[in-house]
Amino acid sequence: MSLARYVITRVATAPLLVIILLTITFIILRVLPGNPVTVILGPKANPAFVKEVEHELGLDKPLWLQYIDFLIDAFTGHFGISYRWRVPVSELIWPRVAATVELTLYSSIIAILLALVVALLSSKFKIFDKFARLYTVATYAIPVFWLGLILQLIFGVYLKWFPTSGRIDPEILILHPVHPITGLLTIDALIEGNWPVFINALEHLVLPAVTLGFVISGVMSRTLRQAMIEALTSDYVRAARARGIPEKRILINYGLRNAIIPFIIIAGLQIALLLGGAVLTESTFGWPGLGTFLVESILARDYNAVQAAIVIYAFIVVIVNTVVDIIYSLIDPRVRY
Amino acid sequence: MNILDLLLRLRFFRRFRPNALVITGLAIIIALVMLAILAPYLTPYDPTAEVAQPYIPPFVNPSHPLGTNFLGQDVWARLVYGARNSLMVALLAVAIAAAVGVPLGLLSGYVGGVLDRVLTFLMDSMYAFPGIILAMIISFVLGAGLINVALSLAVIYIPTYFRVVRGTTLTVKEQLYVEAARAAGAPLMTTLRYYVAPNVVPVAVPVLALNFADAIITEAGLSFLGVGLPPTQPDWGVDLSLSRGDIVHGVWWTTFFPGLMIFIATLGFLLLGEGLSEVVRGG
Repeated sequence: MSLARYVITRVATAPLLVIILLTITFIILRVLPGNPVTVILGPKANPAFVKEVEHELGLDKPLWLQYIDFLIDAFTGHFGISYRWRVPVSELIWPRVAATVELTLYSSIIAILLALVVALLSSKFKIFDKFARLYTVATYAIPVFWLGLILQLIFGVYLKWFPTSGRIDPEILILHPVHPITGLLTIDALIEGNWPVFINALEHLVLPAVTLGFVISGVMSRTLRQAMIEALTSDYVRAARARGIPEKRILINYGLRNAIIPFIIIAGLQIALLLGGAVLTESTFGWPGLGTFLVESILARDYNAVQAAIVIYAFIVVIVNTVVDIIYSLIDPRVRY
Repeated sequence: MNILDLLLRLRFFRRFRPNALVITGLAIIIALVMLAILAPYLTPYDPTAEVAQPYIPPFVNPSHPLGTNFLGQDVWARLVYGARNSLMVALLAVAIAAAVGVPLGLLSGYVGGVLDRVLTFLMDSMYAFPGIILAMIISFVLGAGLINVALSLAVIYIPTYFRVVRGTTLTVKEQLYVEAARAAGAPLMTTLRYYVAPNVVPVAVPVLALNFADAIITEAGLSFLGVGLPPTQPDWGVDLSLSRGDIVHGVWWTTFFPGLMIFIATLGFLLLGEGLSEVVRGG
């Protein structure tokens, strides 16, 4: 398959993937027992009021029409009115998406750095190999919310180094207003040269980003280690060793350089893990992201808001997977076949 | 095919070489199961009753070894009874997921064609989506409760079994003995049950343990977020959710101990799963 054809097929299947995910969501929300109106109003609601809400949500239409409406609304970004806030959901949700993007971005950077250190150490020293395996197991078994709370206790409450909750101190934002350009506070502040906001936002980011980064780094270090082992046992490394190239150069120039590409790609495919972990991390640190938005909306029974959050998650997952796949096919042509 | 039969078919039960991971994992799991079963003998308190002053620190009062929480409930009692909820949810979730995912994978891999392509695409898309978020919306629709949490977790694990079983089925179905069975005129279900399944199902065993680990930590996460077990239940995730306000006052024990239990329980099943998959791969 030529590159152009692969990219076109991959991009063309992306909406199909979104539709599948939306269909699953639709089935869960509308077809499973548990009527959305009872979910919103509770089981003992006034029947007249139930009818009214059903009409407002379009639930009095036939199911197939509801399904079509749901898909069209999802693709055009019409998420309806939030029951809790009485404003369009789309007004509420985009700042939340930006906050989640900011958190996951910094977490990914921390995770990649941690994974690099662990994988390099374990490739260089035999003793660290056991440590690397232990590290992966620990990152998996430590509940992210528990780690977050413990870090809050140590670095927030006892040492008072970092704030334990929120994205920025509101006073700072009032004194030094930032214009949303990307919606990512640190980036916007940097663009405008707004140092007080930048530093304050960064301080708020440290604990949640480290928490989420640590949890994600386990899978990453495992992937990188496998890629390194594959590279280091290859013929070109044997040839390099035979030519007497120093071990250190072999490790970095031959091992790491060849392992880094598959690693970055597989790291990109961990988006589901990252987003899932972000929900718990955001909730632990009161981070105003999409995850806390979803949790709050679920607890407030804000049906349209829940639906909107799920739709956005579906789009994020599919877009990231598609982009990563295409980049992979650019680098490694074997994927295309 | 009964369980014993299944176990005998596993290679590692024939020439079982003690694997440190498996043994450590099993030891932790057995300890946890004992904790859950013997709960009433390990503590005199009702985990939901307010039995003492709130916020008694741990290791101070011998009748409350791990202290009390903001309601004056005994932390140790809640941990012990919490093991029951945690293990029960995970057991149900894994059992349901395997009961659905394994046959689907077998059928899809063996029959092939359109059915296989549709199912694989569906399962792959589900697999790509963050599991905890899917579980959150399912329990949002179904409502809080032990069975509902187990069901929502089961849904997110079905693709895992499906993928593993389908993959192995694809290789097994090309084997000569399967072809022979088919040639001899064995009906589809007979072939699947007696010729394919016994050689495929063992690969799902390590997945069981790994899913168990994931189910424990995810159930705790759901309960922590308030979409899992109802807040009245003794449960590690619920405990963490109730103790969120304690941290700011420097009260650490109501957070530390429940989290430690989640960690230990997850670790136990994780080690077992890792160990088993090592044995399956190496044996």
